[in-house]
Amino acid sequence: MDRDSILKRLTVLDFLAVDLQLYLDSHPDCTDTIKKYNEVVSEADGLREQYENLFGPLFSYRSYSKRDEFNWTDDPWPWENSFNFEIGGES
Amino acid sequence: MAECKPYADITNVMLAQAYVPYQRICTLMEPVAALKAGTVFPELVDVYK
Repeated sequence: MDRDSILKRLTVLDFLAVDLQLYLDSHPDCTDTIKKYNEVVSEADGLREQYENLFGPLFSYRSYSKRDEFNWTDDPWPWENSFNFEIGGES
Repeated sequence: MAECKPYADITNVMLAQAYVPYQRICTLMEPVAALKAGTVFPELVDVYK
């Protein structure tokens, strides 16, 4: 997967995780939803590791890939326009 | 199976009492569609039709 599609998929998965968690707040014993929630979270973390191995860190304070060097500072910064994908406007 | 109703019935309704029906899960929306709709629960999309 290229960088933009991983980021888009992560945006979708993190949104799902939050929405399912809100449901689980009021339905803590709904096992189907817990299973779905766990699937979403583990897929997202797997993607985060894949992203970090390919493109560098997503977070300055946590790493999903075992890296020796600290390269948070040498990547394009998250707020730089070129670094961001376009979420709206496509199918 | 019968049409899945995404909320529980409200019993012994009292006058001038507000109720929020207890949610029941029927189906979850497709992930990308959920992000765009703002919820993963189809029954919560545009309830004020």
